[in-house]
Amino acid sequence: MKKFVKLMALLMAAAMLLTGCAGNNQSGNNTATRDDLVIGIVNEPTALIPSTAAYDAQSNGRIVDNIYEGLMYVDANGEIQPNIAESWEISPDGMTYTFKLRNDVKFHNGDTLTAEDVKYSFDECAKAGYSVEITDAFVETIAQDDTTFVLKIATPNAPMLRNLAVARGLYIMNKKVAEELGDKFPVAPVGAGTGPYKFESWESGQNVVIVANEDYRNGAPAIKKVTWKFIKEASTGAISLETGDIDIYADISMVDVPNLQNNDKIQVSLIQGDYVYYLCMNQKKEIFQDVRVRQAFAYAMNLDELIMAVTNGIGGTKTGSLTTPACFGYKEYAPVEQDIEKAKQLLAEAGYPDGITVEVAVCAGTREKIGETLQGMLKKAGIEVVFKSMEMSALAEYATGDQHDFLPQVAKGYIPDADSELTDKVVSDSWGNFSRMNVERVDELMALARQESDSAKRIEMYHEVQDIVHDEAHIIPLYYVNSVSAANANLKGFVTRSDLSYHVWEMSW
Amino acid sequence: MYKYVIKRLLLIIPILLGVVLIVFTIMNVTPGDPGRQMLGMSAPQEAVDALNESLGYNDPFPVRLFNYLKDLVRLDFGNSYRTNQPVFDEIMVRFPVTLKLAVGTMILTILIGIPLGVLAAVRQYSKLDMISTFTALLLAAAPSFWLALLMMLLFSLHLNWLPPSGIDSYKNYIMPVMTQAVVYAASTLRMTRSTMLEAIRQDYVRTARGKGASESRVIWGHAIKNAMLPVITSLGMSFGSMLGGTIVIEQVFGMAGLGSLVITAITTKDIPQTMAVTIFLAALFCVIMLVVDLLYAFIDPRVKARYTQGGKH
Repeated sequence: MKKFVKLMALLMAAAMLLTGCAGNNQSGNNTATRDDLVIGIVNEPTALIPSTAAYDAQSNGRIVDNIYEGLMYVDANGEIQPNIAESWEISPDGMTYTFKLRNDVKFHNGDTLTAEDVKYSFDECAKAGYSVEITDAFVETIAQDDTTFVLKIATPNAPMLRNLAVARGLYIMNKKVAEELGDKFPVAPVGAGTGPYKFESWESGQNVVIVANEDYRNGAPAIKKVTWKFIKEASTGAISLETGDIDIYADISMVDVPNLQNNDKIQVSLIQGDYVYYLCMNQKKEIFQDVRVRQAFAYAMNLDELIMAVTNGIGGTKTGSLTTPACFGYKEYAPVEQDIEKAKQLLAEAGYPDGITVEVAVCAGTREKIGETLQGMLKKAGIEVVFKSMEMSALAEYATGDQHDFLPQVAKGYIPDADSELTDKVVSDSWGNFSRMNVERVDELMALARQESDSAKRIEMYHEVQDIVHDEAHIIPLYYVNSVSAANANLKGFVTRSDLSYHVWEMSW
Repeated sequence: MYKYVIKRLLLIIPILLGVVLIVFTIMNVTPGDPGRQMLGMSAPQEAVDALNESLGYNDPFPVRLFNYLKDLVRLDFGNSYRTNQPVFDEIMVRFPVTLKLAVGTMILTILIGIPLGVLAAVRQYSKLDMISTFTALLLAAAPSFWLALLMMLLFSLHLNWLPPSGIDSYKNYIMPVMTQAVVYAASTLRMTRSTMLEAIRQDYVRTARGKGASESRVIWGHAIKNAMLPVITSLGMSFGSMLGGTIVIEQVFGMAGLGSLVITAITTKDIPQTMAVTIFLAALFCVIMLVVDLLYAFIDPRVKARYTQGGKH
């Protein structure tokens, strides 16, 4: 017996020693010779092709942004710049776009890019159906010759050029490789892109590795190898960042932000994002058809309290505008200020001196938190809120069937253009118009603005639309969602972008 | 003996069929569809419908069940809704991780649980007994999530000995195994203690002592063999649950095992993937229980006799 105990003790001691000796082999802080990067992201991507990146910016999109390129890109000042296309022309009737392609763009496997690849990519994107707000307008794609690509659309469309420049779904892939690899292509797109990095490997459940494209026409990037590690748990991500196990954690939780900000070895980048949270009151229900009731809702809310409760105070920036400052057609409105007395007064005027009872429809996640917070907040103004939480698809069905009273919604325009950011929300009969607002003038303006080629006139029209929405409280904007990510303090060129992307080719040690 | 084994292996088929029917029905009856789950709440309905259509999700339930069973007979488990790759590819990549975790936990559980359990029984009510039982219960009651994060803070952040996530080397497995083993070791310790207590009160132990056998021989040569039977069953079931139940550990330590695969599959309503993992784990579990039963035969001569003589007792 005693011998056994002694043996166990010895074994344990040996185990401890071994672990101790193994020691610290993290490449962490020896930055003088580093040329690799480890980025932690929350979810594993589902595929690494452009069309799927359109709906999954966080995983698919971030990696795809480094491997593929589009015909054009938007620079830091918001100007459209040539990329794979060296010039372009829009016909006078606005329905034919002709792109002149560069003749020296090479795919990662050495093939030269031709208009056939562009046509293939555009067609695949339309077929996949994840970018329908853009591709529905496509009528025909033509590869006229090796360096000329023509796109025909149904009606003149002012934001179309910007759409084409920004759309991840329209990045160009190698037609030959895609067809050769068939089903395996989305998970192993070897040689299919033209960007600064090429796909190397994808270890299921663990990481995706991309390596520098040394022959990139704009110069080989400084960082030679990027490992995208999947770390689902936010606390694990924060700890991994602090130990140097990873260099960037892409989606840190708001709870970890103060701690990381105090850490000298970590840099935190917080920006006001492109997503807006707003409140939709179903105008198909009689109670919300009275503008005073809607305005009462606005006055009853305290946005600071809401943001504190839902996002710990750092996750949101309150706003009175449905569009973001970077958006073409943006107009600034002051966020609603709480005025309980005014709210009660408005409700009384509308015929509800004793207050009203309404139901908020939410699903798990931030929406639930908003619903809960509003429940407590609106009570003071005499608005009883019944909380109804359900599963995401059930909520979608519920809202599509106009059964909701009101609900919080979050959305972002596909591109920073009021056409994209407002259409689905304000035009009657749009799927995303959960306010069920039906204002003829708004529909009219939105349709006209889409086809208007004079920028100044377009802006005027969008301002009028937003004025109507604001003055008649059709939709109540709540806050812009802030994006936060953190990285090793020694990493240069690191910044959180509103489209969630990481331009690794601009980073270095 | 062999007839028995074959019979048991064949019994697995109806068990799996039952599992398939139950899980498939549950997955299809609960609200939510893969299209909406994958694209999120802000995606337009037409995109969601298109995705569901392409996945074959819009067919009525009996049609889908029939199609699934039809493919199952040909051993075609289908493609994952999420990645469109054959479901078993993903399982085969992740299974070794879970297996390593389970085996490591098993070893540590046995190394800690059984000796300490025996000691606690032999020195009943001594300080050793009290302390080990108390510590065991304390650690077992602690939520594994919390324990995992504490360990990460200590061993990764402060001491910098072990990496916090991933599966790159054996070092990645140390903390997860310790976190898991704590729970299973505690129950093994308690069980061993109680079965040993019972065993050393038996008559044959008194006889052995009377014959002059050393205490060591009495405990480790005679008593423990009898005490082990229930413990082995419990360990077998624990191993089975370890294979499927490492979800929390895998999530916290960022390891790509079957647990995290199942969770992702369920939350994205990836029916083919969920079904495949469930069937795989169910089959494994049946095999493990078969092994446990066979182990009984090797350890207990009475059981062995029963099997080889076709139950003539």
